[in-house]
Amino acid sequence: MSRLPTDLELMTRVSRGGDEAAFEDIFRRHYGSLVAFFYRMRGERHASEDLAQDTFLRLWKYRGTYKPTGSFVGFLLTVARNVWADRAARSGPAIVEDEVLDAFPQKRAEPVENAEAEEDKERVRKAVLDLPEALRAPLVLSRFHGMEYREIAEVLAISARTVEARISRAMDGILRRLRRFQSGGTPIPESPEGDEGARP
Amino acid sequence: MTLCPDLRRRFVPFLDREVSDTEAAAIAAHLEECAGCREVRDSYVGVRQLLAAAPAPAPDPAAWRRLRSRMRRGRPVWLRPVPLAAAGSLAAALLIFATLSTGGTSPPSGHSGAAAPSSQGTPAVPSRGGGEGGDGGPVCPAVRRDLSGGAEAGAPFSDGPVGSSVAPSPGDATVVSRDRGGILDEPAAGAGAVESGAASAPAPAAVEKPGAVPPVVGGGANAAPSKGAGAAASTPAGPLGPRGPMGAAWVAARLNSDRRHEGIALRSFGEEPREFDPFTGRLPLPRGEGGVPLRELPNGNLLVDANGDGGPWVEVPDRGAQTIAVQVRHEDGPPRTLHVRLEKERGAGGGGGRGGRAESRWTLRNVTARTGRWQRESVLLLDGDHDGRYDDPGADALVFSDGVPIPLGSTVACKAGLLDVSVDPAGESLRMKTHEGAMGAVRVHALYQGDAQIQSLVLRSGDRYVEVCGGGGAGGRGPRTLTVPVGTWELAGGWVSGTDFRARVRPGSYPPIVVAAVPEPREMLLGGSCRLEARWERGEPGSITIAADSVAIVGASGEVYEDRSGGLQAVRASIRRKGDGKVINKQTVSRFT
Repeated sequence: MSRLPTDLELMTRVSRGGDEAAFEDIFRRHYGSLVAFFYRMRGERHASEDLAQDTFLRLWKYRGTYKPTGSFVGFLLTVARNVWADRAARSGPAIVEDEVLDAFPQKRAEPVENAEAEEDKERVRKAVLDLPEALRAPLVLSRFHGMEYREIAEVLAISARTVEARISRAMDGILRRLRRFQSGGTPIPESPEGDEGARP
Repeated sequence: MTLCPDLRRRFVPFLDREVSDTEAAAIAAHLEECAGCREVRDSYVGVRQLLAAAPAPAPDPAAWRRLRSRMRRGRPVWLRPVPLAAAGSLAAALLIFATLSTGGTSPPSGHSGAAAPSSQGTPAVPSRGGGEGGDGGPVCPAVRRDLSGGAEAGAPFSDGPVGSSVAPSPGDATVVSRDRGGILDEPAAGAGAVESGAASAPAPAAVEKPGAVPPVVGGGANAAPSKGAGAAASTPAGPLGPRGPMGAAWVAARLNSDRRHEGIALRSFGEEPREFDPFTGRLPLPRGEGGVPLRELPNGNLLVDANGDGGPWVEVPDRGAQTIAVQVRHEDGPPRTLHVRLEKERGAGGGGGRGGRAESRWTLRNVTARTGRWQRESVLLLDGDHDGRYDDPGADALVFSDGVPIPLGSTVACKAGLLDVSVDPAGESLRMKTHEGAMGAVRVHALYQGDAQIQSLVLRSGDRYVEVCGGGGAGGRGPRTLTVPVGTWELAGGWVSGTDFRARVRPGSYPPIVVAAVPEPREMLLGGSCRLEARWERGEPGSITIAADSVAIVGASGEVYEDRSGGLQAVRASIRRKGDGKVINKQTVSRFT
């Protein structure tokens, strides 16, 4: 049984020869997680797809300059982070998808077996989206993508110490928000200030 | 319940197994003894479980096909076809019919709210933002501030976040320079309305070549003159990532030693030269040497060897921001011009004048996105292919505040008629000109949930795009009429809003409609009628109606000037009636934030 090529091997083929088939393999491996990353960062499905597409398009466009160092996933998320920063700089705050898509003709939602659990998930999702981006990004990379702090530091171009501080603050922020949700209050904005780690 | 102070900073890393074994053992031992910390731990663990269970959407199965199409064609993603499943469900919910007739007709019945042509023949077309026209109905921002004049020269387009040195209020002072190809002087704060007929700042000139020049790979000629007006510049995170301020003494146009990567490198005093990485936005250590020297003159100006060959040198005035062109080329390829934004940041406390030079610093970045305001709208100019130029309609785009990208070279429908929007390749000026050619008309009416307001609709016909900007009628609602070139048009995007909802118009939601030419072009033209009505139902009925209507063709020309202050600095345009050229809409020069 032949071994599947690694991401780095595929990307090397893409970089050197413009191998579109290899690029498709990379795309199929990572597109879903990239959409998920953007969805958790932005909260809007179609925008997340667009951002993921933009990320891969940028990857393809500059494939000739790729240098195989470090993990490919970290590299991909670094590109994604830059695409995200581009988009965030020009499109303003995130939009919770419900507000956008309520008006669309869509299939009716199926009855939810465990409405309370779904509600909890939704609260957590909104609590994450409520976080300032500086706190949200390391949290998403840590909790949803299983990255270690040093990898997150590499992707976000900040120190590992800053990552640690921000994730701690993000977790605290989510806890506070969930408590306010439970008490019927309105979450208050979280300030990204006060990071304890040194900035790069 | 809170953690013990000693644990606060290390507790989440502990849960994430990011602490040493020794520290983990110590924290675990503490948890055995401390009920409060255990309670917090349980809360954290609960949140982590909820986070792990948080859903993420399944990706579109047609995503690869879309991407491959973009890879090959460079099309913007918002023009992607509707996924089959979505299109199917949407189509099933739509009742669509279209009728077409030609000849001069009155507007179709059933649209009593339609804005009739004005006595001057100006078709009423909605504003994008809506509601602030002050002239009986919303006016498209693209012409809300149209003005007298009519020069055709370019003008600075804003670039990036801005400083605060210019903070005018609506209707405040304006400084207009007419004789410098549209380049505006930086307005004097607090000045009254002024029109300046002559340029005050000289264009950069070649100056005496300074001494030693490092080896370069650049070639060619034509260093671009400095353009643009500047307010004090900040150092934004650009499209390629964070760009911190750099005390640049050298800017290099150079290549990697592998000859596969061209880019702009910086060299700062006391630092190694670095090169932008298009992936990461970082500045890794480069391989090889070579560069274009920068030298700061005693008067604060900057000398740039933009050709990279030691001459001619270009003196960049000590202004806030400007774009220069540097030449790079592969050893085996033709020279290529990259436009680079130079910005001068005033140091804090150093004063805004040139006396603050000692505390100021130049920064450099490749120009891949420029933001600012056009009329009252936030706009973004995207260099989609990252080539430093805004000249590729397939990749570069103009994005308005609603997030709908308008491909460069496209057309925007506004009150004054149909305007062709173009941006000069360097991104220094944004220009509107009256679209020429046979026209028809389309009337757009959103009836979703009663009184929906059309915020934006993008119509597409081949490679041409027309944006219907804004709602209309009382309160920004009601049918809108716009002129479009004759042809077959389809909805390519946009969105509609009501009091408590926003609905995105998906490409492919409605079948194309045919807009016929009016029988005989004249000054006041009545278009053939063409009607399309689309309807969807989802519990509550709603519909969008698009129908042809009669309109007059009115011309508008001129430019909108912009600076980095975030407020419009000057607008110079005229709205003229086609044929006799009579100016029918004449406003004063304005400036606003």
